[in-house]
Order: sequence, then C-alpha cells, then structure tokens
Amino acid sequence: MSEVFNFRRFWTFFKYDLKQMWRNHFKVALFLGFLPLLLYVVWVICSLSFTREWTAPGIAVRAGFFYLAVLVIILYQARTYGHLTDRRKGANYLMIPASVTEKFTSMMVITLIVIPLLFAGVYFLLDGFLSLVDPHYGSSLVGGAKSLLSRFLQAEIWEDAVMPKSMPNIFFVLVVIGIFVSMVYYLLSGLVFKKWKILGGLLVNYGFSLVLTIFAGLVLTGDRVKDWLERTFNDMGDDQALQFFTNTLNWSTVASVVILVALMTAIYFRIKTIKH
Amino acid sequence: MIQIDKLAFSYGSNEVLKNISMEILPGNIYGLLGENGVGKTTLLTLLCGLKKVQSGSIRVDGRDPYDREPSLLADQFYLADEVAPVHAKAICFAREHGVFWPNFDLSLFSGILREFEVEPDQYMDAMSAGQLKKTYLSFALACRVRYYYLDEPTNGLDIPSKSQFRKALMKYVPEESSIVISTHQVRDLENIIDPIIILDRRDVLLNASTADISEKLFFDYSTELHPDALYVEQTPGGTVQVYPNPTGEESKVNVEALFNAVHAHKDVVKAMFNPNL
Repeated sequence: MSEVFNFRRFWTFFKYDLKQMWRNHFKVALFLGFLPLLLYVVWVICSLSFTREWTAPGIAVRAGFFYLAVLVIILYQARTYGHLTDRRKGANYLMIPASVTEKFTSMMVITLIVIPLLFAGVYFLLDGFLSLVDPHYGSSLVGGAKSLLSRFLQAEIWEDAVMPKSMPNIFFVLVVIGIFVSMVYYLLSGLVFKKWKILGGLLVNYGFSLVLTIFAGLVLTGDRVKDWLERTFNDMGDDQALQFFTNTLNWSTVASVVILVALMTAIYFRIKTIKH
Repeated sequence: MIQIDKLAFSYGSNEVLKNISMEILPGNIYGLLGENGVGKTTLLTLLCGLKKVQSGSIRVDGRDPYDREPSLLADQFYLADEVAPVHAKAICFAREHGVFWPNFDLSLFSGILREFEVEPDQYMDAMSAGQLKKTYLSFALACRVRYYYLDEPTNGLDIPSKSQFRKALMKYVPEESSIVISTHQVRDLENIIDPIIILDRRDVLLNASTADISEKLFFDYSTELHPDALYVEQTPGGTVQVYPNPTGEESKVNVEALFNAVHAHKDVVKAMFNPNL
C-alpha cells in the first residue's frame, strides 16, 4: 500500500473528517445558509409590528446580508482546522494513520467544495423558494445578479467594441477563485496562529496590503511610469481598452490561481511539519 | 525494534536531551523515569513522530517516525498526558477512530471500558478527567499495536482503576509489543515495568532490566544499616536501603529507592551498569 496516497485510505479518512466537521463546524455553514429565511421572518415580523404591512427585504438588503454571510464563511475557515495547533487535539489528528497527502486532500475538498456547496446550496435554495412564494420578495439573488451582469454587458460604454461572450464566465471564475483564495488564506492562518486565528490572519492581510499599496503608490507616481500610463491610455481606442480590460481580468485570474496554489502548498507543508 | 542513536534535542537554548543512545526491544514494558523537565515527554513525542530529531537519529523498524508514514502510524499509539475531550459518545469515538488501526477491536474497547466502570454510551465531553483518561487507555489497548508510547497513563486514575490498568496492560497488549511508559507514579507500575530507563538532564543514567538491576544492586528491607548504602529511606515498616550487591543475591527492586539511589550517585551507578565508561 502506498505511503503517499491510497484511495481506500483516503476515502476512510475523508468520511472520518466529514463526521468531525459535521459535529463541529458544518452547523455554522448550515446556519448561515438559513440566513435568507431568518432575515425574511424577522423582516416580516418587524414590518407587521411597526407598519401593519406585509413587506419583504429588498434585493439590496439581501445582497448585503449575503456578502456578510460569505465574509463570515471565509473568516470562519481559520477555525475549521484550527484545532491542529492545539497540543491535545492536534496530536490526535497527526497520529491518525493516513498520509499527509490524504489529510491535505480531504481538508481541501471539505474547505473548497463541501462547505461552500452546503452554504451556497441552502442559501440560494431558500432565497429562490422565497422569491417564488412571496410576490413582495422580488427577484432571487441569482436572478438579480444575472440581470445586473447582463445590463453591464449591454451598457453603451464601448462604442466601437463588442463585449466578448465569455466575459460573464471570466468574471464568475475570477470571483470564485478570489473566494477560494480568501478561504484558503484564512485556513492557513488557522494552522499557523495558535491563538487569535482570525485576527492574526486579518492583521497579516492588512500589513501586506499596506506594504503593497505603498509600493504600488511609489511605482505609479514615478515620472516614467506616469508618462507611460498617460501615453498608453490616452491613445487607446474602445476596442483596445476592452482588450486591455479583458487581458487584465485574464491575468488577474492567472495571478489568483498562482496565489491559490502557493497557499495550498503552504498548507500542505504546514500539515507535514507541524510539531507538538 | 527502536534504535536511538546520539539523539539530541533542545528548545531554543535549553538543551533537553543530549547524546541519548539506546535500543527498545520488542516484548518489553519500558519504564521511563526522570525528574521534571529532563525530557521524558519530549522523548516520547520524538519516538512517535510529533517532533523532529535535531541531531542524531531515531529509527523505528528502520523508519524515521517524523515521516509519519501511515503504515508506521498504524503500528503505534501515543497517549498524551493530557487528553482531549471530544463531543461524541465514547463508543462512537472508538468506532470512528478505530478504523485506521488494522487490529482495532471495538468489542475489546467496550469490554475494557466497562472493566474501568465507564459506560461506552457516555459523551466524552461530559466525562471527568479520570473517565476520559480511561476511555483513551481503553482505546489504546484495543488498537493492539506494536509500539505504545504512554505518557503518565495512571495520572488521574483512581486506585481501583490503576490496578485495572495494570491487569489490562498485561492481558490485552500483544506479547511482541514494545511499551514505553513515562511516569512519576512509579509505585503504580513498579511490578510491570521492566526494563527501567532513568533519564537525567542530557544523559541516560540507567537502562537495565530488573534482573540486571537486582544482580548489581541489593534492596535491603532490614532495619540494620549497611555501611555501603547508596540510599537509605525510612519507611513505616522499617527502612529500605540500596547498596552494591556483592553476592548476586536476588532482592525485590524498589523503583522509587532505585531512582533516588541513582540520582544520589550518578557516576557510581553509571559505571556499575556501563563498565566500558
């Protein structure tokens, strides 16, 4: 039997990991998934109590709550496997006879597939259901996002250029990878910091952003760069601008994938080298 | 077999283990003794792969435990001095965890746990520290592995449970298994540990079987003081003295007196057991 990866052993470990997660952390994802229903009930009760009218939360409020829920899901990743830094619980986990690759794969599947699916599945299902049963509720979040995107794509900001049909997919992939990067980042933060796992991740993120902003500011305000930017953008036609925009999105996607892989590699080595 | 060769380990500038060399053979229950801070827990965590050797080497059947290869992990069990409460029934915990150890026996787990007078249906996070320890001990014994590393296993156990633990250890651990028990509670385990390893800061003071100890040291329980006594202790029933055994006459090894004698006369005892030094 391979010491690196054995599918049977992985499956056994994955089932075990799922059970532990169900017992400890999936309930948080599930609770956040039920947020549309909770928001709706509270909203309707308040509305009936104060104005004696049946109203439902508008799409802007719901979008705001969804954003907050996604933020909590992302930050909560610091807690899901945070017990690995605990001497007692971490030792139990490390001493389970499964390879680092199997433990890492299970961790990634749970973090990047199971938890988002559980959360988003329940969230969108309830949101869609409420939009169907209550006319006051309006369009569902998915419907709203689609219409917003379509309006953006049809906007007459490009006179001489046609928006590529692949643009929605590029956007979608970039957003999903961005969320994955954030989730994996906070997962790593939970594996690195023994205490203050979320705060530690936030502070490092803040510090890194600050340094990057200062660096970018210094570079972009340099005379040579300023001249180059002015020359490039002033002479740009609509089709060139659109091409530049599309290229920027594509390169952002590539950069996000590189960052995601780097963070995942760091997690793999953290599991491999963690000591108690 | 476990081979430890010139092992060294330190926490920053605090050197804990230095130049430790020994072999741990199958079929023995090693008692790992030492004062606080000499590195007993560190040695156990190095043996099971929770820490990385900084200098020297540890080989368990020729493998480095820090690689944490699944086949080696399935052959060993490390029981920490403090165990984690889990939000699960003991039986569920055992069923879910046990699948990773090929020789794990769930009915044996339930049986040992009942002998400890703990119900397998009890939630582990509602257990007392002693009950939790008994659950982990039962689980460890039910895994039936080749290498056991037990850190203070009798801490938190009540008097009947200590005796139960000794019985279970003798009854359920496979004969070819090696057990390393780190303990301060020497009286709890003195009848079962053999050989005895006494660690000092940066050194192994003693690593010998009780037969070897008994051959070289005499444990005298009479009231008459011996002029060559390395250690003398007043006990309620008289005295216990430890002195070099000139005739090879057998005596019952008192581990606590041995420990104190070794610490009081480190060089003498080391020279006695390592004539090559």
